[in-house]
Amino acid sequence: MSSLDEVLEGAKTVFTVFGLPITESVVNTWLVMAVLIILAIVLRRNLQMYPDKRQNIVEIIVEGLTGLVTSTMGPKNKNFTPFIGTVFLLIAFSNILGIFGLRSPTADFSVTFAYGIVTFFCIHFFALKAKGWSYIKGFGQPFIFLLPINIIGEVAKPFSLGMRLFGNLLGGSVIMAMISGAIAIFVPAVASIYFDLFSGFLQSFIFIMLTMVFITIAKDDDD
Amino acid sequence: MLNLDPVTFIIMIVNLIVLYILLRWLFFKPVNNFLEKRRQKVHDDLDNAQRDREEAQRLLEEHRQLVAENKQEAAKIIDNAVRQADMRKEEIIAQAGQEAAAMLERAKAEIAQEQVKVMEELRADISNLAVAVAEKMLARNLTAQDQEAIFTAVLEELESHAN
Repeated sequence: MSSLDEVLEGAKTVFTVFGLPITESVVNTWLVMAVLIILAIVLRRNLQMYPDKRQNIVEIIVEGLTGLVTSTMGPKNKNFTPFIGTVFLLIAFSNILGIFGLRSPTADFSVTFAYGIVTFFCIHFFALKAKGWSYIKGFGQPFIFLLPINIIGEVAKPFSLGMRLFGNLLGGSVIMAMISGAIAIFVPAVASIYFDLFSGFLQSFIFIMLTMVFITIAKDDDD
Repeated sequence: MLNLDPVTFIIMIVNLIVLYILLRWLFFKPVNNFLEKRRQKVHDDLDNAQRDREEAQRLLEEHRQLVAENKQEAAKIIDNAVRQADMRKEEIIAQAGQEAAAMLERAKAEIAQEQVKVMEELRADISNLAVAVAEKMLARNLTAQDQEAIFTAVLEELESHAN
């Protein structure tokens, strides 16, 4: 467990490439990506008509995510499943990295804001693709003087998404560090189940739910 | 901590996009294709099973009908055969009866013929005999007239006896 000071200090620079600092967050994210890619390759190997245990896990993951996306975004947006699934798995695995004593990349605002910005561009890209010019005009609805407020509302979305994830994860890390500092035995393990595992999954779930809702509203709402 | 590190920020955007492309290529696409294929297969299999069941039902129905038709046909054939045999029996009996009657008829005719022949022979013999007896008794030759008269008388007498 990292101490409270380490947590509050922020992500350390691990090494530099051409003078660019590569932080702990980036390295840990690469670790998560490597794990996810290896898992993907191992899990999806030789799929059978009669699934075994390994394949059941694969099917539960894919069908669960597909079901979540189709029920939230509607069946016609089923194609968003790989993107939403990727965001979910990346954030969830990043969040629960705390269990292994590593710093969660998602406890770094630079990371969560990057995810928020990707979502932001997705929202407006797909909305423009679906609605075209009428989407831009929609910002002047219902009255033209609401235009600035509508724009602020849109710009706030990546910040709110990023801040929410960052705040929850950092808060969890801080509390975990404090508990570890106060009582070293047993209690941190129990608390870790809540703050790292449960909260980690919950926050990644919230993130993808909001992403799906934002994209669907911008893309498919008729008003 | 809350300050935005541009290097981390940009690397994370790239990370997310790269991971998305890789996971879609390595995981979501193939698994989804596979699941879709299996759904299709299950669907097809169920359809086929339904079709096969209907086909079997139809064949069974057809066979039942065929068997019933055959039974009817067989009954008809047996019936016909029995009727024909009956007819033939009647015919044979009738023919036999006719033949028997014809034979009887022929026998009767032959008997009658024989009777007539015998009677004729008898008549000739008797007339000769009568003439010879008369000649002997009279010891003289009768005239042709006498002979005729006697002959007729004897014959009449004989005939009345015979009858």
